[in-house]
Order: sequence, then C-alpha cells, then structure tokens
Amino acid sequence: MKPSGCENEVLILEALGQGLAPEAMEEPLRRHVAGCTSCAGLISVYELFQRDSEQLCAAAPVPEAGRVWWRATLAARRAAAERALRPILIAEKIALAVGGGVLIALLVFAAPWLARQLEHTRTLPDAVVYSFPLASLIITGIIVCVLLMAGALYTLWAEQ
Amino acid sequence: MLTRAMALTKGEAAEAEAEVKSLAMDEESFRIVYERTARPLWAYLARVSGDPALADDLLQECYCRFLSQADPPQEEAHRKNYLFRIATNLLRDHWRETRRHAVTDVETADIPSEDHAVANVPLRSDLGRALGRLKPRERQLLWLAYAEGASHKEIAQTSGMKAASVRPLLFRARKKLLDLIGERAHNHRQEPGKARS
Repeated sequence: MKPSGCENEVLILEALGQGLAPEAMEEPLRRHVAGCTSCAGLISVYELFQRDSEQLCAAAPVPEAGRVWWRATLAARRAAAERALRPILIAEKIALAVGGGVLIALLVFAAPWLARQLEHTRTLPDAVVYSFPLASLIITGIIVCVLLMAGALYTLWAEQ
Repeated sequence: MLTRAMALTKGEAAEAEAEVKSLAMDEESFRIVYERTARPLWAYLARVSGDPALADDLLQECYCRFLSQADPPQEEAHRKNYLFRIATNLLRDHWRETRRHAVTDVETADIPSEDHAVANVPLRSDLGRALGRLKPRERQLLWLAYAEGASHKEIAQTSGMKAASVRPLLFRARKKLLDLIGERAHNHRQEPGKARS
C-alpha cells in the first residue's frame, strides 16, 4: 500500500458521496474493499464522520439569521465610520509631525539667539526692559507649543 | 424642532440603507444562504476547534466577513467552499492569537471538558475524543473530506495548502484516527477484565 492510500479511494468516495452503501457498490469495487484494509478503513471513517456530522448539525445551537444580519449591519457601520475617520487621523498625524519638526527647528535655530539674549541681559541691566519681554515671549511660545503637542499626542492616543 | 427630528430620522434611515447596500446581499437572500450553510459550518467549527462557544462566535464573524465582501461567489457550491475558507482562516487567526498569548498548546489541545460545552451538543463522542488528540490541521482535513465530502482540490482551496499535499496528509490523519479509535476500543475491552481480576 502507498503512503498516500489506495488508488481506488476516489472511486469509493464518489460512490459514498452519491449515497451508495458499501453493499450497493459495483461488484469489482465490493470485492476490492473486502481485500483492502485502506479502503475498508476509509469506509468506516466516512460513515463515522457522516453520523457525527448529522448529529452535530441536528443539535447545532446556531443563532437566528436575523441576529447575524443585525451584527453584520453593525460591523458594516463600524467599518464605514473607520473609513470616514481615516483621512482625519492621517491629517492629525501629519499635523503632529509638522508641528514637531517646526518646534525642533525653532529650538535649534533660536537657541544661540536666546543664549545671546540672556547673556546680553546679564551684562547690560538697562537693556532688560527691552530684551526680557522678547525672550520671555519666545520661551512662553515654546512652552505653549510643547503643551499643544502633548495635548495632540494625548488626543491621538485616546482615539486609538 | 419637529422638522429637524424628521430630517435626522431621514438621515439615519438613509445611512442605514447605505449600510445595508454595502453588504453583499439583501436580508432575504442572506436568510436562505444562512439556513442552508449555518449548521454544517457550525459543526465544522465546533469539531475542529473543540469548543462550541468559540464555534458560536466564529460562525457569526464568518457571516459578517462573508457579507462584507464586495463580490462573494454566487454559485451555491462555491459559496459554501468560500464560507468554509473564511471559517478556516478565522480558526487559524484564533490559534495564532492563542499561541501568542501561550495559554495552551493548541497543537495538542484536547476537546474542552463538558462544563465548557454547550448543553445537548454531542461533542464528546468517541470520534470527538479521538479528534481531540489530533492536530487542528488533521481535524480540518478529515472533517472536510469525510463529513463535508469535499474533493482534494476543494480541501486545498479551503485550507490554503497544495492539492498534492492533501492526499498523503489525509491518509496519515485517517490512519492516526483509526489507530486512536482502535486503541480506545481495545482499552474498553480491557477494562471489564481488569474489573473482574
């Protein structure tokens, strides 16, 4: 016997699939089954599965079609909402990335100027009146930006 | 106020109609398909997973996915194979998820105890116990071939394996199953003897 079974299995399965009992099969096939352990095993397994399938199908606690339909409608609604929200989410992510980039650039470019301003304030006390409001304005701006970024990040996280 | 409420209701109705239109078929056609396929599909899911509660969940998910397809097969036989393919993929996803969380070793997962089984479902038959000792893929192959009467080509399409691999795998699974059933029958015969001695 081959490791993949007997060559006649297809014929036997065809006959069984047509509803033929082993005794009702054609004479050569019946004679073959009587002498072939693989085919005899196939028939017993087939009958076992058919019986089991019938019992399970009869007892299957399937929900009503209406309930499944309703669930599918809900799933479709959810999918539609997700599709509609996708561009907004993408726009939010882009805005966040651009905002982050601008903030980093601002920090990089403004750092020397800020340092100069602070140095200037220390050496020239009279100039404080002019330079302090400007420096504090920039620092406040950066803090606001950081807070806005944190808020946007939190909103994105909460949505996901 | 009333006009606004009516407009809202009209809007909601239009939205609901659009959702229904986005589904693959209308409710009446779905009902017919469901009545014909739900029970065999549930039996497949329950036998292969060994868990009737999971079979319930996956069955519903299966039809949700089927309905969300843009162009599902129209022929009845193809439609049935298509549903079994969705069910097979859902089972695979479930096992992958289970493996990730490493709750149980699904390759050797036995049929759950009677407490977990839905009442009146004969899952713990001799065949059920023997199947519980096989690998999920072997259960799939055997069920599709002998309970559903699927051809090797159909099994290959459903399970996503090569058609040439189906035959030897099926043969091995069948042999393993027969050995398990034979072993069980032998143990049953031995037990009364033991009791006497």
